[in-house]
Amino acid sequence: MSDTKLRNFHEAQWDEDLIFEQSVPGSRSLLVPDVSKEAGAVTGALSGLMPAGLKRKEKPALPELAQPQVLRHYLRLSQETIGQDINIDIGLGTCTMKYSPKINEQFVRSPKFTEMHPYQDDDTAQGILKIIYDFEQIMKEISGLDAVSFQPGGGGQGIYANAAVLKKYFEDRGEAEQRTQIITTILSHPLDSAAPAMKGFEVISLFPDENGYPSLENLKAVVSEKTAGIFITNPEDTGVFNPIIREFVDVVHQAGGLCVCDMADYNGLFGLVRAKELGADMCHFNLHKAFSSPHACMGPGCGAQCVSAELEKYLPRPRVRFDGKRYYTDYDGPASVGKIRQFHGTLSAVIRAYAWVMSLGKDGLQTVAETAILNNNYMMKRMLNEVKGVSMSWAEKAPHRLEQVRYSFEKLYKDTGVSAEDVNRHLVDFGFQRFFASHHPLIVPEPFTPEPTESYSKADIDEYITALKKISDEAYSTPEVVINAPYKAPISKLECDHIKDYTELAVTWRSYKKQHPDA
Amino acid sequence: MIQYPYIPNSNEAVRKEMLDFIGAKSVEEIYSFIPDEVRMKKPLDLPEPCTSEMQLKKYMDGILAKDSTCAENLNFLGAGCYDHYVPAVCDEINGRSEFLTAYSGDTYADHGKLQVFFEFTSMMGELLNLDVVSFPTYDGGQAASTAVMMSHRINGRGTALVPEHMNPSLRSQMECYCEGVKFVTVASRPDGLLDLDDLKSKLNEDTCCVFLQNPTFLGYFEEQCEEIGKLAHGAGAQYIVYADPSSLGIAEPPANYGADISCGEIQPLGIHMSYGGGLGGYLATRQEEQYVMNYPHHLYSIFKNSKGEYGYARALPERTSYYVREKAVEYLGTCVGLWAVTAATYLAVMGPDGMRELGENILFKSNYARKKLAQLPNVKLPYDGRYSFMEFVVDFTGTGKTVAEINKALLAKGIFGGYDLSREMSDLGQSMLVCVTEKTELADIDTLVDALKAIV
Amino acid sequence: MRKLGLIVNPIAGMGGKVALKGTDGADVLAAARARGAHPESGHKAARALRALVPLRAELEVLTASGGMGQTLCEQMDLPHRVVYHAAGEDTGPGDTEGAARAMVAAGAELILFAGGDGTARNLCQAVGETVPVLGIPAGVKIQSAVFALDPETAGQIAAALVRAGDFTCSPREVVDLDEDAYRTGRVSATLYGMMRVPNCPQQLQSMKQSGFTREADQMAGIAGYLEEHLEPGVTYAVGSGSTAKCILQRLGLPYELLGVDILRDGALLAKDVTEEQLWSYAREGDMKIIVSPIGGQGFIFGRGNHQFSARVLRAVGKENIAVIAPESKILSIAGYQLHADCGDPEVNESLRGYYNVLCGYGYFLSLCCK
Repeated sequence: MSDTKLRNFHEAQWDEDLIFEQSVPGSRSLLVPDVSKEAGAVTGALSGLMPAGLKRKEKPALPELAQPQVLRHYLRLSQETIGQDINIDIGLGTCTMKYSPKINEQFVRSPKFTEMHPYQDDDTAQGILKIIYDFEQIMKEISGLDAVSFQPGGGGQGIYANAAVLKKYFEDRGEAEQRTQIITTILSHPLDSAAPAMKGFEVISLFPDENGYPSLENLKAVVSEKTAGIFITNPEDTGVFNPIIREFVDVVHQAGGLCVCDMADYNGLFGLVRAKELGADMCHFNLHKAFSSPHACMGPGCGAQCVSAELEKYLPRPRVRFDGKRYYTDYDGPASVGKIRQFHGTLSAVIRAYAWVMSLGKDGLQTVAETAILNNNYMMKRMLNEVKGVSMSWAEKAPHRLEQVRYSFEKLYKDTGVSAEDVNRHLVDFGFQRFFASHHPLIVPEPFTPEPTESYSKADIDEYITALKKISDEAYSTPEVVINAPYKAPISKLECDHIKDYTELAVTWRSYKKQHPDA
Repeated sequence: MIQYPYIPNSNEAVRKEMLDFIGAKSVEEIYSFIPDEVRMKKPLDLPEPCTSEMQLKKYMDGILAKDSTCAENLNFLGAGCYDHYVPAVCDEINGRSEFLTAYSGDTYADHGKLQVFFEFTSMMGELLNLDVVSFPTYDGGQAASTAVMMSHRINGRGTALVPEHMNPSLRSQMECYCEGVKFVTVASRPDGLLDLDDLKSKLNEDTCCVFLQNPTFLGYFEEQCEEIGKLAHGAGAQYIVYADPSSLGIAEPPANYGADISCGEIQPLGIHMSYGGGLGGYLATRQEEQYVMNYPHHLYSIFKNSKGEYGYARALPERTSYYVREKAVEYLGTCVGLWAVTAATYLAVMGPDGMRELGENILFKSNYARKKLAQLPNVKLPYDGRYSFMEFVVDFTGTGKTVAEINKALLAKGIFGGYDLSREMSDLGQSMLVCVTEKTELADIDTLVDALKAIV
Repeated sequence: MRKLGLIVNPIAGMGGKVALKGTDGADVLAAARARGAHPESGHKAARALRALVPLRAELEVLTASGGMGQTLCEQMDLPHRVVYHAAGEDTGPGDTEGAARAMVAAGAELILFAGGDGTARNLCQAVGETVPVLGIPAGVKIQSAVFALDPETAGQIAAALVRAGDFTCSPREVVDLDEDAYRTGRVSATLYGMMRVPNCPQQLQSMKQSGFTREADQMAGIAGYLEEHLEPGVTYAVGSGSTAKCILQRLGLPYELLGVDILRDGALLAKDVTEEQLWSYAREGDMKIIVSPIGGQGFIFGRGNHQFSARVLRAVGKENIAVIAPESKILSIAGYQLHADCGDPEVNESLRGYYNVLCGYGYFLSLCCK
């Protein structure tokens, strides 16, 4: 395949001062109506409306600017940010950076949605309730499971919600004292162990064998009467699909445990594999990943929690139901885990995901998965054949990948001293967002996990590969060029970006100024 | 095959070229390694799609048209989600593609995003008079839950004392989350303040924290807040205050009356209600080791490089646990970055005077509504001697009608009455929690009063 | 300007190519020379130092005279200062120790050393855990957990640390085999102590992305979990090394870092027991063993803890063995596999299979012992 032209790119570099430094005392961006006269005639003076001891004595040192200056400041900072819309965002694998259709923004920005209060009478909320209800039906079909809650506000909260339901289930059965252990794999998302631990479970993680996934023998060795369940991602973050997943699930079921699938890496499976066929009792999908809701600078997202019929009663409340004529909220649920998040969850993500599925249908969804697989396999062949210093773990025994691959720059690092992180910093010089390395812990050395979703064209992938080839060539010829990158980002390399202890932390300007009075 | 607008490589010719390069006849051949036993046997059963954008818009608008919104009615609902004015600049900024579609990029490519995050925490720090503010979390309930877990990790104790009349929905979320912590209720006095005798009797060596909402869930300023803090500290407990940031232009921040951990909801700061979807939590403390090392969230610290440029990076990653660390783990994932961007914009737009005027406007109008509603026959306003901020309780027990009935009648007149407290706080009788914000006009309040006159 | 110590043990590795299984002792060295052995370690150190050449402007290498580092620095044009002068041509353990102490005194932030287990042992004797060290594997015996995988990796880690400025360390085992026994076919290793080894900066980067716990926190979690799960009436044999001793530290009890201690009902019954003493406890029944694998190589028995003999292990049984280690130590073990070698094939066989290795409070990694 031929290389494409690399851009002569430079990200905006506004050298923009902090907003505090632009403050002009007395300036205003927004005025609030003065009602002191009209209302004061009824209420009396302001001084009588608050307890004296609670009146704010010193006004907060917020910046004071006029509206054009505030707008311009944040627009400039937006230009120093590389969203998916504006770059070939193949690098951030496991994040499923795909196109978030603009039409869907119109729906979630409509006052018909934004001006809705969650405690409105159900009769006034038939539109949004219908969307929640209808999308639950769709997610039931996509997962193959029987009930769905959209309350979790992200993937992590989705896993946590599943752990909470699982715990409640065993409490109800009187087995909570006995079933204290969760099994997961070291290459599943770290939250698959952290979230169950939050609910008080012990966690046992399995290592992959030479096939890239744990052996059945290993699973059998750790399953016992203490097993509450298994939390598993398939395919795992490495892109390796565990083909004996059914046997895994059967072993856990036979021991009396439940199977919870983390569908964070689902984009290559639409219409091909469902949680039900995998044997799962529960799963969660990130609506801000495979279902196109934008990632929004790390949220708000939605972790759609799907469970089997037996577990429905444990789902967080409220639930949305339909009596054949009318949609209504159901707060009743004595067995429920209670609240995972306030109200119904991030409904903007639900609306966008609903609209996205409704624009594609069953054939479209399968095309999404198949194109993600095609793109990834095309890129994989080019990557391994053409980019020097890159390899893929378990390539021998597990050569197949679906929608993403965890590659390694180990050879590049050993040969040249250029680490994966150095490559990562240099990518921006070619107009690309950074790549995702790996979740913790680093089983694959010098890792790199790109995911060319269905939103990228062949030319996009070619451009990405061309850039990586260029960076690899530089690493071998002039390594310091890569090591000292970036050059075309809003700022140059920070020589030091870590601190020894909490005293050097400065997460607020006031803290920084205390430490550096001359700033 | 349909050429899908969102899928460039659904183009047949390009697909063939790519398949040829891979050496496969079809995509199915590539994924044929997936065992049959887990493959779907039949196509998904989904509704017929609206494949063109025009159809989709018509379909979705048609559904949303069935909603009747707070903008189309008079709204007096609050109780955890508030109908504040959203400055146009906030929507403009959070709608920018660069912010809307960015994710976990970091120091270099997303320098602008990190500067906004830093400005968010910095401005919240000014509002709260605290040096450490975390990246915002899912919602105020999550922030409050983490605050309790922080206190539990710091002192190893296992009981959280919470006020009787705290937000029950918030409490439900906190109880679900706070594994290993027991929640014990502290009674309210008939006059609406916390019963300090009851508090004293329940404070002991197992109290990890005293949790207070101020203004309270029922809308009143807790005037004893400083004393409550002293009692908590006297017992070796942490003092957590959940404060509405829209009150902080006029009210003392919790740190000034002794709170160790401040937390709350940032939805009031320029984020639309969106049927309860627009939530985000803030968490802030002093810059002390026991607090800093206990945040489960990302902390973006500012650094300077040799060229004198400021940059931002995640700091002190080796955190998440301290003291009785091993058992009280928490997790970290995608939360609400876009709301940090929005709230930063909001605070910059409002400035100190805007926040003060906002608070004053609400204070005047909610007190106006209190006075007017108090004149209704058979209607009582409990907690007469208390100062309220944005919300207050109206007791309709004397009218012989339920809040549900009254709200149905109000709805018929295009008014969303206050939150019905009778379901969760039966001790208050048939009471509603009325909310008045800066968006509520005096004439709207008069309309509510007139409507109620006719109903009760 | 970063100060980096460099010690090359010029004779390390000479025994290996001529099948002498080590180069400890003057007579062995003479025998190696007689068999035609040439210095190996200098070449290996050069392979590592190559990564530091581009960083010369930011670096001062503190080294020892002649073949112990000076010659190499001159050849590679690395800015250096000789802080220790060896007395003669043939250097010995005393020189390694003297050089290391001089480097600490001169403010070395990290000591790179090229050698084998013997060199590591000398270094450990001199500096212990006072300064971070990193081994360039150049000796015949590389059993200690203080070495990088290969010379290139050692160099790249050192270079990355120079660039990063700041780094964290973890305590790792220094073990050495008895060469006389080794030459006659018996493997007999002793744990000589712990040294602080830097964690890869890449690992720090991954922590920044996911917000994970420090090794110290994991150790606290391990100790807390063990403490809660100690059973009354059970005799615990606590193996050597600072990881295994975390439970005794937690209980505020004295312990012998390099030996096996006996714990029962919250009290220390015996410190630093011999195999014979251990056997007398094991014979009574109700014994559990708490051990930690050696970093890098993964041995839980047979390296540095020979008190756990075949008869002891047979009496205790696999189900009563608790293996503990912080996550980073496990990640340092090649292939993530444990090994046990107590000298008795039948007992070794019975120790095979999976262990739930305790890595934090209620957090286990399942590892196979082969």
